[in-house]
Amino acid sequence: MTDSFLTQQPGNTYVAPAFNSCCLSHFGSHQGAKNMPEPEDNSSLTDLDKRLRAARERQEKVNKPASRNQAEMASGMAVGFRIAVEIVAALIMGFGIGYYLDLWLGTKPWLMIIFFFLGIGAAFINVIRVAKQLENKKRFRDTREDDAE
Amino acid sequence: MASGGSHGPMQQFEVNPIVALKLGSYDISFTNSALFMVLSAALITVFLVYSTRGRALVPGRWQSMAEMSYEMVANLLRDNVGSAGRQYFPFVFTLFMFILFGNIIGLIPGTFTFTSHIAVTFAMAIVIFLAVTVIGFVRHGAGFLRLFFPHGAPLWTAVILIPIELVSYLSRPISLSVRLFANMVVGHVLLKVLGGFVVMLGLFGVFVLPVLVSIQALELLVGALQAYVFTILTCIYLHDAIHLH
Repeated sequence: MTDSFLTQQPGNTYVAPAFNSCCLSHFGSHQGAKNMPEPEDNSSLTDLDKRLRAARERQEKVNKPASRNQAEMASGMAVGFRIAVEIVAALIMGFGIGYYLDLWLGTKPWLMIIFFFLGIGAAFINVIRVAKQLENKKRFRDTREDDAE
Repeated sequence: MASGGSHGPMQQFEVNPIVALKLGSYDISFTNSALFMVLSAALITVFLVYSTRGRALVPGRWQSMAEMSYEMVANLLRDNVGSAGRQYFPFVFTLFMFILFGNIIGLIPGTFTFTSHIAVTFAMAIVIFLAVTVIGFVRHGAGFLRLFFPHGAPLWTAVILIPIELVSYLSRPISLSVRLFANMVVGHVLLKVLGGFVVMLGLFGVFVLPVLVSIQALELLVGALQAYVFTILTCIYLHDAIHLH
C-alpha cells in the first residue's frame, strides 16, 4: 500500500511547466498532449491565461446546446412527474385510510368519502410545498449565478 | 419463460430465482434482483476504495469522481438539513450511491434494474419514513406533533388541518417510492419498445436508432436525477423532523 502510494507521487503531484521539459520529459509523452504548444514558446502567464480562457469558451460553445437542452428536458420531466406523483400519492393515501377504517369500524361509505376529501386537501398541500421548494431553489441558484458573473 | 411465450417489453422486469432458498414458509431465494443489488454494492465499494487509494492532493480522474459524489451529498445535506444533519451523512450517502448505481447499471443491456420494482423502492421509502418519524419523536418528544399543525393558525381550523397534514405526512413513503419506481419502469419500457421497432423495421430501423440513442442518454440523466431527487427528499424529511418546518 505505502509502496504504490510513494511510486505514484510523481504522476499525481503538480509539476511546474518549466521543469516539464528537463526532468520529466517522459511525462508529457505518456499524457498524450499532442496539440499543446511547447512550454518554452510562451512562458508569460497572462498569455497562458488568455489562451486558456479562449479554449474554454470554444469548448463551452461546442458542449453546451445539446447537453443543456437534454438536461433541461430531463429536469422539467422530473418536476412534472414529481408534482403528479405527489397528487396521486395523497389521493391514494386518503382513500386507503378511509377504506380500511370503514372496513374496521363498519361505517361503510362515510369515512371513505371524508378521507377522500382530506386526501384532496393533502394533495394541494403537497403540491404547494413542492412549488415553494422549487422556487426557493431557483432563487438560490439565480443569486448564486449573479454573484458568479 | 415470458408469459404468453413472447419477449414483451415487460419481460425485463421479471424476478427469477437463481438459488432457491426457503426459510420456513418464506421464500428467500437469491434472485437476479438480489444479485444486482449485491453487484451494485460491491461496485460502489470497489469504486470508492480504489479511487481514494492514492489520496493525492491533486486528485486524478477517479478520485475526482469519488470526491464529487461525496461533496454533492454533503452539500445537499448541509443546505437542506444544516449542521445537525451531519450525523446522518453515512446513511444518506449510501442511499444515494445505491440508487445511482442501481439506475445506471440497469441501463446496460441485459442487466436487471432493481429500482424498477416497487417492493425495493417502497422498502427504502418506508425505512426512511420510519427513521425520520423516530428521529422526530426522539428529538422533540410529543412536541413533534406540532408538525401537523401550522404555527399561528386559529385553533378551530385544527379539525380540518390536522387530518389533512396527517394524510399528507403518511403519503410521503408512497410518493417517494412511486416516483423512482415509475420513472425507471417508464424509461425501460420505452427503451425496449423502441428497440423492438429497430428490429421490426429491418433496414429502416436505422432511422429509429438515433432516437434510441438519445433516449438512452436521456435515461442516463433521468437515472442520476431520480437518485438526486430521492436523496434531496430524504434530506427535506430529515429537516422537518429536526427543525419542525
